[in-house]
Amino acid sequence: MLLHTVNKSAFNHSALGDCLRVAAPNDAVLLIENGVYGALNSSQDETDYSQRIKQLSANGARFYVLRADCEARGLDDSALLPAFQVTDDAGFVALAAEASATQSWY
Amino acid sequence: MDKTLKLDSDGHLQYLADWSEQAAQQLAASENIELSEAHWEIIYLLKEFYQRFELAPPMRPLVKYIAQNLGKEKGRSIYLMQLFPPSPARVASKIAGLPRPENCL
Amino acid sequence: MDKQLTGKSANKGILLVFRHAPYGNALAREGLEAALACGVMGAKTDVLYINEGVWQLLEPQDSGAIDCKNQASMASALALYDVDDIWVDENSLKQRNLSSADINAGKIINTARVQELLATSKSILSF
Repeated sequence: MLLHTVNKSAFNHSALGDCLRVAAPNDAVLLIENGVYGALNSSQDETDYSQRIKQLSANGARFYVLRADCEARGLDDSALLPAFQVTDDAGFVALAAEASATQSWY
Repeated sequence: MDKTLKLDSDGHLQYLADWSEQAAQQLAASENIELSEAHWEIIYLLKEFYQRFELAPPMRPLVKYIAQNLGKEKGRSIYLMQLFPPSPARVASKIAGLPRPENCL
Repeated sequence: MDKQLTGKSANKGILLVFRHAPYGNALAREGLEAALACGVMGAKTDVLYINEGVWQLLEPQDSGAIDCKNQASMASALALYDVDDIWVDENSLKQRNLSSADINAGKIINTARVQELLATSKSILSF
């Protein structure tokens, strides 16, 4: 299992899209810092990335956001795409330890 | 002999443009090395390496490059050790007017 | 953790992922320096050019007027530093209307091979 971290907003940066293009079904994707905006359930037409998240999630990939970064930005759990679980620093460490390696997309 | 070469804190030339064969002899003297044909061959190859790759090579790449250009007999660390003791990549770079090799262990 | 390493193609070394274009910031250059350092220390080192990183492979580059070291010249030294496995993401080339004729190094691989490379690396450094 590979851990992907993404720290840029999906709305002005390609990091999340680039990540989702190579993320595999047994990987974990963790959104941190401005990356957490990528977990929002956009009210507009479904963007490419939210489709891809849905698809990867259905195939077994896990998606996380860091609680502190969501709270800091006023993002409520209910606003997140259903694929996302909220985790904390301890969860981040556990994911990194579980992973064979970590790829950070920035 | 020009005594006013500008050197950095490692004793390497500050400006590659200041390099000349006289400067090389002066730099070699500071390492107690008297330059022979065998030395010049390596020095000019090292300058070529720097021009081509913009890097001052540490030992392994230098040995590989010498082997490719001057043959396997010369592309050996023992050969370079005899010419440029005690640390061939550093000493030869210095005489060739290059900065100290990065990643030089 | 080793269970998904896939036999003969398992890399189990250091993978350097180059995802940014050269010159605009120091990332490309720092990545290259890291790759050269890994190689010269004898570590099994692979390099993957992906996303904006594929711009690093265009030739000819003449960076004299912007006062930067020539990225392509430095990259061409990778083999001398024992970094022989250089990979290029096919999709990233296509997105930028580039082909093998435009780039100066590397073996072009598809997404499945990129995934395999990531999954089999012991550690990944991203630049």
